Amino acid sequence: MLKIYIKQAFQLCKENPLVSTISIIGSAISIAMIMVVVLVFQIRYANFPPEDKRDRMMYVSGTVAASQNETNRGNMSVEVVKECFYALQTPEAVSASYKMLRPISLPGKRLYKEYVISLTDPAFWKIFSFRFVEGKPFTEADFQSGIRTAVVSEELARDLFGTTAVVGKTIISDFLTFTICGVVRDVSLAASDAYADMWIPYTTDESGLQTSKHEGISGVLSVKILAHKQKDFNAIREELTKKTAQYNETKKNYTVNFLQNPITRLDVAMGSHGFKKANAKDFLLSTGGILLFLILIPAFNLTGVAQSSVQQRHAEVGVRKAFGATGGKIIHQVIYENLITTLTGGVIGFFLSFLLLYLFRSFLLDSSPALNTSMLFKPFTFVVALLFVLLLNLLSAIIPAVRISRLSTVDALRDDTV
Amino acid sequence: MFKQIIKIIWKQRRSNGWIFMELLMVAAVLWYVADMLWIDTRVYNQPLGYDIENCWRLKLYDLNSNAPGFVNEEDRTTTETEDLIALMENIRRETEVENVCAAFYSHPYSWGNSWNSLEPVEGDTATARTRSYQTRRVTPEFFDVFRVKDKHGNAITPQLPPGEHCYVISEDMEEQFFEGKEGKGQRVRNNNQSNSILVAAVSTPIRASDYEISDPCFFDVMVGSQLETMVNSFNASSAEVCLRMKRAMTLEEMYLFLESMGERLTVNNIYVYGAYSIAHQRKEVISYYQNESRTKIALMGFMLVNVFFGIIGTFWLRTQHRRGEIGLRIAMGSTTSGISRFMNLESLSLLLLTLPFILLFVGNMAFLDIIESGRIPIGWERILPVVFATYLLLAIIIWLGIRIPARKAASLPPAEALRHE
Repeated sequence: MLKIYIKQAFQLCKENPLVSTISIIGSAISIAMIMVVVLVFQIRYANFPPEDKRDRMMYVSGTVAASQNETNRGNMSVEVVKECFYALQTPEAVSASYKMLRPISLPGKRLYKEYVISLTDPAFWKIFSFRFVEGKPFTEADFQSGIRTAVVSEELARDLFGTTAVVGKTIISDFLTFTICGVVRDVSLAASDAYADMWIPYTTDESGLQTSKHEGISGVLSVKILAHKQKDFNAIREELTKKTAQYNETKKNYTVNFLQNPITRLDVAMGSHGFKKANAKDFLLSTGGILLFLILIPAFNLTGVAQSSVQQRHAEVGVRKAFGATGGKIIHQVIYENLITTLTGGVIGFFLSFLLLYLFRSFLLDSSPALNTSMLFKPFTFVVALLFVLLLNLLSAIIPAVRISRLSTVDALRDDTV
Repeated sequence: MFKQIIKIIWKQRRSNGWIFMELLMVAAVLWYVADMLWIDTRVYNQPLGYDIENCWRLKLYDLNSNAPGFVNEEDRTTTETEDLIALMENIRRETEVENVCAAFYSHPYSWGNSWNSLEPVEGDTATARTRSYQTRRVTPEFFDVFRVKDKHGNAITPQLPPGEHCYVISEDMEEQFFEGKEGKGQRVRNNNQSNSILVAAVSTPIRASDYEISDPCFFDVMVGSQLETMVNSFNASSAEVCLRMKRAMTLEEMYLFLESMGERLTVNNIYVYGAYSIAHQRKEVISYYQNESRTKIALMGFMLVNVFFGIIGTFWLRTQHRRGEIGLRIAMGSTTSGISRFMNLESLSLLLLTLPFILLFVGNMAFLDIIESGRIPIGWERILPVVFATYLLLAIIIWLGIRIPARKAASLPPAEALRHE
């Protein structure tokens, strides 16, 4: 039966090419816009290298140092990182870092082009999966003694030296000399936590880390935690609460707290940041609203078209009914036939969405990141696309299908029913 | 004629219903989006109060205490303020530079947000209310670098008393603070200080960005001891050293220019480490608004394409099973343009039928203050043009959409068409 429906649908397409084209383009645009929304969310949420363990990660980027008459919102000091986070036993790894925008010069030549420098610790390399083209990360020993070593991106190496074979060479940042110990593949800005042009141990920035504010609580660092498994999230939160309480015991006037942090990747993808955790309900309402709009407007259109085209065929429906087809059968037929156009449109729209995402990436994803297949093509992507196609099909065909199926056989056979 | 059209629309209510629903929904959303875009455009086209062409900001940093050339506290012979002034002099001497100024969180598009309350010094301004105004801390050359003019269009710097700490207030602050009286030459007092300060000039209103309306504000013109106080409280390295170049430059050219200055960009422990054009900073600041506008325009485009397809699809199919009627019309002497006019009228009447519902919706939105009213007040002169534009746009799309089915209908041979009757 399905085969006949497909055949018939193709025949209908041939008979009325304009209407079929319109239905197909209509569904294509709808699916393309919906998939752009989905892909933007996916890039914020899904695992891809070097951030390929996002599902097991937790983030702390909001720290409050509070006394009786002052509340300071910012980030944390090395001391807080050590006492509250490095001391945690449950997580697989804990990394603290901050970023600066600074020029990187060559010995004897002062340059001004600025690069993103990430000041971090050895655990950073465990949490993120960088691909080293040359050399290796800076070591625990480098970090402990504040030795000025640096990992650079291929792009930075090429910018300054014209080659990526730069391990052992020296570069200058803020008049201090660093030795390059490794070169990594460039990171997409979409992996915003891992992204930088150069990575150095934060212990090399003595003046930046010096802090006497709020009894040594406030600083510049934020923290990323990697759990062994998602189930550990609550245990980590509990352990952090304990450590924080212990740390606060040692303070006279100030206490530290991390508001609703640590937050998960899902929270981040829904638009949370250190000081404001996004509400899942609000997110679903606003994103769901957009999706609903994107599917409802074309559904109205397609319903109108399907309605007109089904009406024309009431004689055929009459004949089928006269020969014993049930209402359910007729509904099936209309929906299946409609599916052919929606599905064709859906496939076109699916690929169109990648084109749209690429063309408009600077405004869809802030800072126009490089896009690659590992972040775009997930099984999830295809399943979601298919679901929306089915939904669009159902929305646009169900009413005309039910209407025509309710028509009595005699009425359907009469030629003047409109 | 119109009665007949209404009759036809009613007869076709099953498929017209969907088009009507779609038009209703689209008209409502379209109006809402158009209203927001209309506000943005109106605000965007007002004068900003400054000119950022060829303007750059240099970024300063303090030398690391381990870096070569670091001057220890005990070896210093100059103050930080003197170092900053010396650095600015080094830059000013370059032939490519037109002028240099310093500001603290106050250059155009700086995100700076500092407020201070002022009160009048007795006398004829006694009625003025004390309130907070946005404060921009700048050196006197700022008005030349960014071409800020007074309300009569004259340069401001020559009006400033040399070497004296003074204020320049914006025209809208003058209006509010002096209640319509002339502000220039008056004295005001910063609420936590005892000495009064001269209002040396009145500038044009200043807008923080292209999408914001002006806020009453005043410039705190830093010279002598006032500059020193500011440097000591904010640090010399936080100063925004801004310059106007004599010609347009790319970022690469600016880097080359800085490289050519060599060690003159370091004075004791402060040094220039980077630069950005104010135009670049402008882009960053307005990107939020622009992204919002682009999203709105994308939604509008999406809706219009859908209306276009909806109209084509529905009317195309309808012409097919109304061939009889069309044939009859042709046989009775209707011309081809008559047929398409008739179809146009039918669909446009459908659009017109949504108008009462939309006006109700618009009225509600305006009455309940759901639409934005902060930048441009709600009123007839805003609502009517936008509703009109919305309907004009929809009408154009419908007119375009109807052309294909109308042409087909009109090209039917009457005899053939009549056979269906």
